[in-house]
Amino acid sequence: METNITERIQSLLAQVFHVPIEEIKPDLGFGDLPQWDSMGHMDVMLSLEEHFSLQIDTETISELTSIPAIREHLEKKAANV
Amino acid sequence: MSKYSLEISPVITIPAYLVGEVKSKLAYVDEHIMKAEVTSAGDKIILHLDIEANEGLYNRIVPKIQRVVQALVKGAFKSKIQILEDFIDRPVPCSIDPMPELLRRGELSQEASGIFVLGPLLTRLVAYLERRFIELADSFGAQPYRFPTLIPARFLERVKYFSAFPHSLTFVTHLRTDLDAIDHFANQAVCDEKGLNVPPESFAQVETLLSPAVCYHLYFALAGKTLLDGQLIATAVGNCFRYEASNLISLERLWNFTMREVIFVGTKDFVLDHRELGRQRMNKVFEEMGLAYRVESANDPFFIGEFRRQVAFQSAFQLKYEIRARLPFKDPPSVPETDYATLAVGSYNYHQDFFGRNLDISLPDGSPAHTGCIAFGLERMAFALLSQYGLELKSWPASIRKMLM
Repeated sequence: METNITERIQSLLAQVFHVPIEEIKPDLGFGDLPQWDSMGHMDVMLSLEEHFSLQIDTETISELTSIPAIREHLEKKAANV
Repeated sequence: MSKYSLEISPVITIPAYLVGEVKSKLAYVDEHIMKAEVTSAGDKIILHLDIEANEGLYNRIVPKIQRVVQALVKGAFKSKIQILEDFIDRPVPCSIDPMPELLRRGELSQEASGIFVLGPLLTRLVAYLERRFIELADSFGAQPYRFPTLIPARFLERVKYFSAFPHSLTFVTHLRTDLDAIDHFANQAVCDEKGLNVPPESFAQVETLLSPAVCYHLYFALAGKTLLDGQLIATAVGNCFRYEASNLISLERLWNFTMREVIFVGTKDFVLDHRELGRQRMNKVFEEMGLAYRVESANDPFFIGEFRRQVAFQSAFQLKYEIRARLPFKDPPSVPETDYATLAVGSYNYHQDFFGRNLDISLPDGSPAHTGCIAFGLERMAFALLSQYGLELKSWPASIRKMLM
């Protein structure tokens, strides 16, 4: 399951940043790609909300700054459903 | 106010927390807009125009107005305002707009929209404020810098300034280095009420702008370098320029204004700790000044394309807090404290590693440097104090009074 979620996040980020999926390493974080800046970060948040049908609150936006952090958040959300 | 007005129903009702932002952006929609108002219910926009709104103008303006509303309101993110200090109810003796009296006494004279000459009283007050801010800089052992007023376009491009704040840029040019163009200018240049009557092709390509902020110069000076000590604290005062169209009013919004900044470069903790320490130290200074103010979370005035996302980002990461001073003359009687009119007179800013990454400023471990600054708008701070204490020195707190005599 872990790999599956990571891959889904990688695929989503590749779409958001318009880069080949090979450039989205599993531990990618904010600032590692020029596209993952403040604007890019908010695009990621909006895409996560849409793709995983969830709502991300203000406090969480500042925590989801890497693929592992996003994965952890999604797993926690899934466990709470 | 203009006799020509135009009422428009926005395509989406504007929520109360966005009314101010929408109003300020409407000033940039069309050159014929002298003033824009939005009803408190957010369901009507009233534009005051300098010409009568014929069908052509209506068809040109309305879609642009709706574009601004859509961009700012649709899917907008409501930031939670975080208040760090609240001294807005500090008693102050004055509730009169100081502008008319300052102009009458010659303490202030207007050269053009957003451009003022300060007389002796305001100059002494600004000098007093400067001393207090330099004391703050000295308390950190900040190194003094002097920065130019001009800033190269290529620098601003590197930090993505053009897409974030295109509306407020002020460009600098000169005549083309061409004898015919220079001779033609010397013989033909005339200023009419609209400005200098010179064909645009007489001017050279824009390579520089007037600087919109002070701290950028330090970051550009550090570009491509490694901070050998791992940290730097600097201070500088400088002229800053932000064009605000019809929003330019009194000393509240100047095109040409002065900022004193204390700038921190280092690790994330270093920058955040010093920003916080600076806030605590200024709390005591403002108490001594008797300033009625609060410090609350805020956002930079991004233009419409990036507004929604940048504002959400700044709020989520708590990047900016503004010192908002009360302007008592703007409050109707019995207005609750929460609704007091305020003016941003300074800010505590954290830029994360944005400048470090984009300008390649490194720490000794190779990671990008983090930056932050504490910025004070000197004219605005002086204006807020004059609004709270008036022009008669006997009403002023003793500590300031003796410095103004």
